[in-house]
Amino acid sequence: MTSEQQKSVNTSNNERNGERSNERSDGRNSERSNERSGGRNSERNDERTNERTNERAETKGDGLIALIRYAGNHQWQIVLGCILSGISAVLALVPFLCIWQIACELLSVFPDFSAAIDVALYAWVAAASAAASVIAYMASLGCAHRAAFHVATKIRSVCCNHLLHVPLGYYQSVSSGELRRRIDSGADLTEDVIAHKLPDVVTAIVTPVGFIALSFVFDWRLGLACLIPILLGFVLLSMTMGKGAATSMDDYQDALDAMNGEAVEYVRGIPVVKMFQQTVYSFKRFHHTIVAYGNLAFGFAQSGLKPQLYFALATASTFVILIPVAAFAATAVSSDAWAVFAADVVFYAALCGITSSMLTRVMYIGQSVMSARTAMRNVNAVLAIKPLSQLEVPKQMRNASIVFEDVCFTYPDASYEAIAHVSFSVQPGMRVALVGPSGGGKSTCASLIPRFWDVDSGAVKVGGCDVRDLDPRDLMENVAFVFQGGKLFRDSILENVRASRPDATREEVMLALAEAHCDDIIAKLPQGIDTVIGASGVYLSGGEHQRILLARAILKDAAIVVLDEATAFADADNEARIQESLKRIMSGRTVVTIAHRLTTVVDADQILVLANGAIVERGTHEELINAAGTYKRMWDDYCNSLTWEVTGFDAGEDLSAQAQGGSATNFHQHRETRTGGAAIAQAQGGYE
Amino acid sequence: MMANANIDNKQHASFFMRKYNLSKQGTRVFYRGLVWSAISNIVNMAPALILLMALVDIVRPLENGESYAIEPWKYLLAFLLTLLAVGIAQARKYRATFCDTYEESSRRRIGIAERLRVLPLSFFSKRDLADLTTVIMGDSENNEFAISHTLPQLWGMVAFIIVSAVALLICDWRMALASLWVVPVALGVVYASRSTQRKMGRAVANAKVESAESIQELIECAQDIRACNRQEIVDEHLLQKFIYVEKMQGRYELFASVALTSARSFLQLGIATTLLVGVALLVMGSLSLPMFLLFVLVATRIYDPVTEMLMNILATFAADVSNERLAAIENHPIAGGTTSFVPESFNITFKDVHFAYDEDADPVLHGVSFIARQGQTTALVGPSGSGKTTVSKLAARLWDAREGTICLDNTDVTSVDPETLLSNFSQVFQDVVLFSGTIRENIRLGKRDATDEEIEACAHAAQCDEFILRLPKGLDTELAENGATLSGGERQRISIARALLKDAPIVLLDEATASLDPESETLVQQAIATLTAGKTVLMVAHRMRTVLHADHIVVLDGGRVVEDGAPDELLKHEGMFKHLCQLQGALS
Repeated sequence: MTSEQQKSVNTSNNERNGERSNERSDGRNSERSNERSGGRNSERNDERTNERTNERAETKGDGLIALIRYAGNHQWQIVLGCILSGISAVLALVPFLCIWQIACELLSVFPDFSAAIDVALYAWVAAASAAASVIAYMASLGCAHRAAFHVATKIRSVCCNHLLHVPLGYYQSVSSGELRRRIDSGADLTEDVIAHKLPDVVTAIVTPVGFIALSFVFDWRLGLACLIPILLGFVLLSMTMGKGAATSMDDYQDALDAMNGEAVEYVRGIPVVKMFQQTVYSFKRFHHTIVAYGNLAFGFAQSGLKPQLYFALATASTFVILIPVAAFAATAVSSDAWAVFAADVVFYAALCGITSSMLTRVMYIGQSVMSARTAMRNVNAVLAIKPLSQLEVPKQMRNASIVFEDVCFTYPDASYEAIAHVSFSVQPGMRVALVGPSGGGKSTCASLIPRFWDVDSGAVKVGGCDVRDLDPRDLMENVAFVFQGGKLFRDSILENVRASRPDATREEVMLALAEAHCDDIIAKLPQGIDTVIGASGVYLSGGEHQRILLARAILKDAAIVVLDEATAFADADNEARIQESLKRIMSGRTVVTIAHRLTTVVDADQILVLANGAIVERGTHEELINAAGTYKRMWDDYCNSLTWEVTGFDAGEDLSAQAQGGSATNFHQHRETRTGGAAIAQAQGGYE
Repeated sequence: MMANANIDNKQHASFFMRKYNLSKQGTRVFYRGLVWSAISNIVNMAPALILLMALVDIVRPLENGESYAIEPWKYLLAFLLTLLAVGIAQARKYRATFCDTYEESSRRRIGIAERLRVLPLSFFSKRDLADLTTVIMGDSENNEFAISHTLPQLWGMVAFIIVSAVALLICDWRMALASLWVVPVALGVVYASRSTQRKMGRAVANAKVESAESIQELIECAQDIRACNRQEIVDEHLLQKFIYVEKMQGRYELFASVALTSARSFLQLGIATTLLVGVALLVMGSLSLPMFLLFVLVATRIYDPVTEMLMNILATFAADVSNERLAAIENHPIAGGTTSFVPESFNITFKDVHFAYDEDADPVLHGVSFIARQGQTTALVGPSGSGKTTVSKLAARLWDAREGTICLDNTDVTSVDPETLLSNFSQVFQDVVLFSGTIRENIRLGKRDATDEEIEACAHAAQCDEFILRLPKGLDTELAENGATLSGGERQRISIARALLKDAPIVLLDEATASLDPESETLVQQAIATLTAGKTVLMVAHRMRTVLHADHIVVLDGGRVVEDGAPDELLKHEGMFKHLCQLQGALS
């Protein structure tokens, strides 16, 4: 805590620290970028300059200084806030001087009080300076708050801006809610430090200094007597804020997080748990974390009792020391000086009353610096994500071809390669279908084309250029992708569709919507295509949502289309119509599809069968059927699934008997018949 | 059921109990905190009183020329005693406010959890669950802070100020008025600002929610933003939102601090009036010097506690809102009914059922009637938005019909406790909820006392072997939050295993669940076949081919039953069913 204080006042030190942290983070940055790109590509990476990264590196570091940096041209408000806070602290001492003056005057004319003529003046000065002190303090808080709010804004916008330039794959690796909380509440957490604690630190420094100065003006012995408890209080406070407190604070936060996590699960699970009459059980788990948190909070609070108690005693003991000291000092006072001496005692007696309020103010500084530091760490973690690299002079796409050259890719934190040595090429206007078991690498492969991730080795080339050498905007303009989980903006349908081609006319948008079979959606919406999605009860079903996204892709009219066909399954009732729209998007373009239902791949120019990240088979439908390999097996299996019907199911009976009375042995046995899950399906088909 | 007890006792509840929704024990703790806060404040004044006596001693020599000396030991002793008192009062206060109140807030959290358990499911489907939880937990935290850090201190302070005011009035009513007149004025200023502050506070909160939503949108729509090259637009839009928050906060802060500053400045005026009146009275000779000094000391010390009180009052304004929201959950009506319901047959009868999701929303069902017979598969068919899913949800009383009746074995479902009713249902819908814990535990949810063998058999019958054997620890693999690491089809199969284990006589089913994971569609289909064998099945169907051999088909359109009968019958005439089949090419 004390080191933080020093930093905040010593501005020259500030700058030096800032520079140092700059150098450090720059070094860290370049290290990281080399690490990821691996030996072969490191030269290539050095060519790429990225101003953004350098710009951001300045704001790294998690101390107070890094925080203040975010205030930018509002920094003067922080400085002004601190100055005003200091002025307020000085002004707060004036009433006590007035009281001393009044006491002096009254005691010297005792008992003829009417001779004390200046008393009224001092009384007003006391009130005025006290009020002025309050106003200065509030003005100081006002300035500090403005700066603090600005810092929060700045942090939010720097983080959001950064997020707009990180690889898209990053988003798949984090929970959106958590990322948002990290940025949003992170920004809020920094507020308290700048808005309240900085000005309070200044008060906490100016007041004792004023104290000491006044001690020498009046009676140093009495002043010292007042000062000792303050110093004692500070020592006790810094002990409270020590390492032990930090760890128990962490424990407390952990328990709180655990409880909140369990709460989310409890509430989300209630509908299901009710279904199974297990609410008591799931309630018990939640109950457990609530009680655990309560106990921890109780313990945490109790551990604070001692320091709190010592602190209260320290402030109260000002008087214990003052009067005996005064009594001893009195023995040396001559009778002429007695009146002044008495006034001194009155002065210090009044003054020591403010120690407690001052100490209480600084009491929570350590805590809020701690939480600000956590917040800054979270923010820096977001800023540390490496943005997409970019050539200074990007290359231009020459055609609509797609080429994978010995591509390898491993997800961050994964232990195995998601894509291993994949090579294939798609000529302009051709269609390639990726098939294979779930988890085989189809989606990963497709997501490398719009550069959601950068490959570890090899290259993905679009239009004859490595995607890393293209301007990301250029790449996005020429590739339309329809993946699962696409989102609509909180805007009108018109704008949502138009987003893919801002210069499109209303008619063109209508046409695209019609092609995506969205007419029924538009018809039921209150304001047609001008209806804002998400506003006042306008919600679309998953399938409707998907169709609007299709319209967007249709409007984009890009030369290359990357498509996940599962998007069609989101709307079970309209599946056939959506398939039709998909066909329309694909005609006359270079297409890469992730196929799930094999009927759609029969007429593809090339089928790639992916399993465990590698291409195990390639060729046209006929070639692969003749090869009688993995693809043939999948095809047979698929044909069987088409015959599924729900009937009274006499066939199922022996299965269910197995389920109820089954044993561990046949649990394992069944594995052998797995591939021919088809066998059972065939049996069912036989009932037709 | 603490929440219920709470409501029952409302009439005899004390003021604080009602105002802050406290339990009985909680009220006791609250009073203890309040009393010790007050005592601790009063004890804190004791050193000042002794100091005053010392000052009188110091001043006395001036008056009557006694020896110029003070007896230090007497005071030292008195002070040590006071220190002891301060220590005790402080410790008791600390324990009663900071420590014991955690018990009360735990109790309240548990009460809310209990309440959530018995609320009708419609309560949950109306709102975003994650959001609901955040609100509940956030409000609980605010409430905890209020009852530990704000409220007992506030009321303790009020008690203390009243006691001191009475004492001062007894000492000298003129001086007491001169020093205390500012307190009610400052209070008035704070209360006058209350409604505006609330309004501005709400504006800030709304602005913050909006900015949080925009950040969420940025993260969720990242792909689409990039695909549409919208980075600049989004960046600008966000900045506008953030600046708006900043502006609202600035406005709020300005107003709040002006209110507080003027209140506090008024308080400082008290120093001047005390000194002025005191001196005037001294001159008139109707006030003794010690009494004057007493009030001077009071004037320098009493305004800090008062300021603290003002701040606590401001804090309670915010706490009130949280408290109201929590109380709304605690007082939400629950869906009741008999718990002794053992149906003998499992026919489900809909009789002229009307339904809307909201009081003022457009009805989704207009007089739906049909019977789903025991042991048969009844398929609900119709275009999207025709009400298929709603019908299946009403059957299990996830919602209550607005008009008409839904019967199971001729008993109106609204007369049966939802949980008891649900023990007869298994449900396989598109949204599967899994819990953190092992796969085994997740399946065991179907039947708490199931043996490991039973669980394994169900996992096997639900076609889970394929992926379970791939996992490092098999059935004992720990799942991530909501099973995020599994594919849709895998999650679905776990939920089917669960339903198999439950072995309920009625199965509610959404056919589309099978197509969640096209690669494993066949496997899921087999699992469903096992589950539905010999049961009363109510199925939301999408693919006509699948339902061609169902026993009974109910065709819905626009919330009305337009056709009803066996598939062969329906295909005989040119109706909607035939049309839908033709559309999907299911008749080839």
